[in-house]
Formats: sequence, C-alpha cells, structure tokens
Amino acid sequence: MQLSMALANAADSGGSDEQLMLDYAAGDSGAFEQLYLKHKGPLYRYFVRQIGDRPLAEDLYQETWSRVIKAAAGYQPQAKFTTWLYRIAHNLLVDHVRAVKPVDLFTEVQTDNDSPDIGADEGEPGVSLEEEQKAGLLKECVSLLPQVQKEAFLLNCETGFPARVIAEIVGVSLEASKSRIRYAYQSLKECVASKWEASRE
Amino acid sequence: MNNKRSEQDMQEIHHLYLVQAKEEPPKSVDAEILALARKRSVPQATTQASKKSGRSPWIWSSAASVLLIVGLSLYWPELQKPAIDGPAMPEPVLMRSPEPMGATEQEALADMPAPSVQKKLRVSSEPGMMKSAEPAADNAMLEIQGMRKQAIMDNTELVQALQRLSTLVEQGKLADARVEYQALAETMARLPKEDPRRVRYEDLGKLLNQ
Repeated sequence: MQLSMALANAADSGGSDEQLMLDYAAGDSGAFEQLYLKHKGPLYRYFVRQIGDRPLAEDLYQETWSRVIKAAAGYQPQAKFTTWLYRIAHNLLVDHVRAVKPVDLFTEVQTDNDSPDIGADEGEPGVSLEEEQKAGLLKECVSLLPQVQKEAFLLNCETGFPARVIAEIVGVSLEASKSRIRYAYQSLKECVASKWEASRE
Repeated sequence: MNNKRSEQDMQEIHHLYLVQAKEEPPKSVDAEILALARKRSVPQATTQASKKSGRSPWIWSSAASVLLIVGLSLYWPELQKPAIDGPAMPEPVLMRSPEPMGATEQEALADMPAPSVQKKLRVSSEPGMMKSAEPAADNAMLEIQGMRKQAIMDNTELVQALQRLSTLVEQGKLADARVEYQALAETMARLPKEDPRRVRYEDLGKLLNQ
C-alpha cells in the first residue's frame, strides 16, 4: 500500500519529470524515453484534436519534441516540465496556423472520418454501449467548440491542468481561463445531450 | 446546488472524453523522436567533456606567447632601444618640420652642441622666410640626427677616441687634442661621473688646461 502510494506520488509530483529532463541533459537517453512515453499520448491528442489535418498535427507534435530535445542542454527546472512542454506546443500551434491561415484560425475541425458510429457495438470492457456512443458524440462536439475553449478543455482533460496553469500556458488571465473551461464543459454537455436525443429519434 | 450539478456535468464529460481519448502517435514518429533524442544525448556528453579539456590549450598557448615575447626581448635587447633612447625622439619633429618650430621642439634641440645647427634653426623659424627656409629646416634636422647618432658612440669608438686624445696630449699636439676633447664633450657628459672613461677624459682635460 505504502509502495503504491509512493509510486503514485512520484508520478504525480512535478519533480520526477524535471529530474528526468536533467538526467537526459546529463546524457541519459533512457530518461528521455521515460519522459516521452509518459507524455506522448496527451500531447499528440492536444494537436490532433485541434487540427483536422493529421499530418500537420504530427509535424507539430514532432517539432515540439524536437525543441525539447534541443533545449535539454540548457534546461533549468524553473517551471513544471509539463507547463513548459505545453507552452512550446501552444506557441508552435499558434505560429503555424497563423502562418498558414492568418484569418480563419483553427476552423479546420476533425472530419467525419473519425465521427462516431452510433450503431457500432464494438466496445471497451467495462464501458457501456451508451457511454461508447456518447463518447463518440463528445468527440464530434469537441471539434465544434470555439478554438480557445477547445484548447482550454483539452489541456484540462488531457493533462489535468487547473485554470491557473492553463492561463500561464496560453497567456491569458486566470478569469479568462476559468471562463473558457466552464463554457467549454457547458457547451459540450448541451451538444452531447442534443445529439444523443437526435440519434434516439 | 447549481455548483454541485455543474461539477457532476464536468465529471461526466471528463469521463466520456477519457473513453474515446485513445489516439497515439504512429510508431514511426515515436522511433524518429527517440532516435533524435539518442543522437542528441551523445554529442551533449562529448561536448561537455571537450569543454573541460578545451580550456588547457588556450592557457598553454597564451603562456607560450608570453614566453616567446619575453624570450625575444631578452635575446635581442636592442629591439627595445628605440623606445628608450633619446636620439629617436626628434624623428616625429622631423615629420612636422614644414611648420615653424614650436617652443617644445626648440627646447628639445636646445641642448645640441653644434652652433651651425642652431643658426640654421633660427633662420628657419624667422617669419617671412618660411618658404625658403623649409628645406633648410629639414636639412638641419637631419644634421641633428646625424650628430646625435654620432654622439652616442659605442664603447670601442669611445675607447679609441680617448686613446687618440691621450696620444695627442702626450705628443704635445695640443691644438688637435683640444678639438678632439671638444668633440667628446657631449658623449662624456652623458656618462656617470665615476665611469673610468669619463675620469680618464677629465684627467686629460686637466692636462690640456695646464
């Protein structure tokens, strides 16, 4: 019990990521591998859910890690590693999409290749069919959110960042960050309910 | 009540999100990133090592340069002479000589023993004669330089000159001896009083004056 609690604390504590990064800077490539495996999924989805163009999302994802690797030699753990990582990702996303589409930012949403198939009955063990279907609807609803709310929601959901950290990453006030998160959840709840009702009729 | 409901809604959405949040980067992307990380970690380690060892060559090369300069200056001490010796000083004056001589320059020349040179300098500094006097001033300066160089005799020349003066005094050729004595006056004045050459010179002078 004590061991499992210690492991959980180590995983949750900000120190372990920073230490892994310092170890990598000292030449331990295994430390980077641990760090990468821990954060690759959430970071990948952060890009994929915001950009409909999957190859572009992969490029930005790869570029983010490339910058982390390049910056490792001069890395100083002044902030949490995850805050730093997502700040790089956010800046890349904003710069890239601004360069490609200066007027209509982030309007590309996920296409219907990934749209949920309500009738499908293949599911995860422990997850009901209704949940599976609603989860599919949610995915579609997320893609319809305004960009700033979508980013705040993804950061909150994927990484568990509180409003304060999200504000730091995207460079807005704490109030604005809280507001974005609240509206995002509210909109998603309404969107899923509406789509669910429509699918039942 | 409202807050509690809002909290429940958030938890439900969060739960639904996690059900379908399963996208992972392709294996090829993983492999590329990890390969880059491994590639970067090796040069970092070697760079840090080379930074530590890289300090020594810089220190050694600096030390070698200083030793070389000191060694050269000790081996060829005459390299330093122009900076120390007085005779080199009039050279910049020579470069500015087309203009009338300033007070400082005249003072620098005041200790020159040759009356002919002083005369030439006076001529060159007279107003109204500036144009024609310019070449004369140049020549005068060259003459001063020549005389100064002559005045700084090396030891062999000085000993020979003293020997000549001594011979002339012994042979009773006093007129010639006085000319030789005068020629050596400036050089001897530069020597310390206890210098044996100056002592001998002064002894010969006393004999001439008797």
